[in-house]
Amino acid sequence: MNRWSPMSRCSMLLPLLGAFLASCSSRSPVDEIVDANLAARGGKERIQALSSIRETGTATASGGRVARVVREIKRPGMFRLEFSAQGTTAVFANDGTTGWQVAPLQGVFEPTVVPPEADAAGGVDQRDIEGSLVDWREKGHLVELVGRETLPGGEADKLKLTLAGGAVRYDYVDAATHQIVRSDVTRIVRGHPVELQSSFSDFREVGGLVFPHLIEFQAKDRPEVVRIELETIELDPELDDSLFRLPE
Amino acid sequence: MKRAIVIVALAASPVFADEVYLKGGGRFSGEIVEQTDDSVTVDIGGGYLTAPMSKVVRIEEGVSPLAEYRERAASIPPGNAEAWRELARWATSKTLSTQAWEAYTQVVAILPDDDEANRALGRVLLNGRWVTEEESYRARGYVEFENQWMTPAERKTILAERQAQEQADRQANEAEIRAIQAEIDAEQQREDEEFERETKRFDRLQEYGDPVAWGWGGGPAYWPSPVVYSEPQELGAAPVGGR
Repeated sequence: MNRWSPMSRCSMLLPLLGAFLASCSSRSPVDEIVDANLAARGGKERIQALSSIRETGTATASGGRVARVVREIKRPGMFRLEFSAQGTTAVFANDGTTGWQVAPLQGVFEPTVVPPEADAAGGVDQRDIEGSLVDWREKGHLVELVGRETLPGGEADKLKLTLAGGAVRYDYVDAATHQIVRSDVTRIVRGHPVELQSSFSDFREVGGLVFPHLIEFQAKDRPEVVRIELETIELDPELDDSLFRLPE
Repeated sequence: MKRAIVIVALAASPVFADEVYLKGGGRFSGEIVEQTDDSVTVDIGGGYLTAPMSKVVRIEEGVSPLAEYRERAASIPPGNAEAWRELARWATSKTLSTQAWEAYTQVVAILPDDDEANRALGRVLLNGRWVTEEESYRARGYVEFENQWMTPAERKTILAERQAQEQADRQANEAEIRAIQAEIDAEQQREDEEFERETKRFDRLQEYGDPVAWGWGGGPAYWPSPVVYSEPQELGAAPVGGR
């Protein structure tokens, strides 16, 4: 006599069936969007092979202001920005732990450690050469899908990134191209929270990776726009670590 | 004759200027207007920068873009809008915003409706008329607040937040003042109580006498209290008081 009734046999199989279905189920919408974005950028493997980068461009703002910008990022978490305008060059850098600056126009004539709130590359995400979406779980970030919005360029999925440090950023991934076309972040400017919107466009391929060559940012609901047009992007340039360290 | 040739050659040579290098990669260039053992002052075309020599790594001689701009500007004949336009483009490429602005202003002075120059100066075509950036912002309903253009609603929010913050700060200050006053009162009370205790003790000492201090001449008639200093003192300093 069989000790197992058909019903109990079924109940035994249910967990196995559940596990099977789970393994077959499609990935979460967030994973799909992130995967599509990484593929559109050149693929996760290619992105992770990048060890350093140098971007050179021109920044323009209202009132006819113009500046040359050179941004260098190197693993792990090193950042340096040179900003040249009106015959002066300012340097903002971070060696992974300490942020410092030399800013002649502000009267800072020697490398000076800057407090985190004034550090151009204070956030770990800003020094992440591969971007926050690559291995976001391992980095301790949280990514959630907020919804889909219509931007001037078309439909975009809005992702909410809660970064490991607690800061929140919203990335808009274009539904057609899968590129991040806008990023919103709230910063405290003179004691007042200001929502900064960065828009990315003119995507072009460089060395197997796709980069936006036009970045425009402005405070929400304000008319002034800062534009950065990138002219050259160098992949894996030789960058000595001393460039990023606070000079003695 | 040789001396004359040298003078002519110097006069014809471009204006020399210098680049001042700072530690860490910072630098600035222009025309040095003053250099002493302690500092160097450079005209950067949009103002003057004075750096302490102690922060300067080195100064390299060369022709600065600013010097070149001034030389080229001086040679443009009156009314030549295209020469000013070309110079403005060149100044822009050298990130000399002040000089680019100056050159484009010359273009507009000659050709008031020039599209490129007006746009470069931040002007906006409004109802068929070129207006300044400020006028265009105002026409679009923005207001200027602390050198930033924003919506009236945002300005109102900032002011309301500030007012709330000031009120909170004031309340926090008042609470702090009350706490400090309470501490002062408590300290005063402790001192009063101690004084009272000591007074009673001295009274009793006077009543019963003190075999130790009951001395001679002008010496103390009672046991002195420990010496009290109002602040930490160096060795040998005189006490400010005692009981």
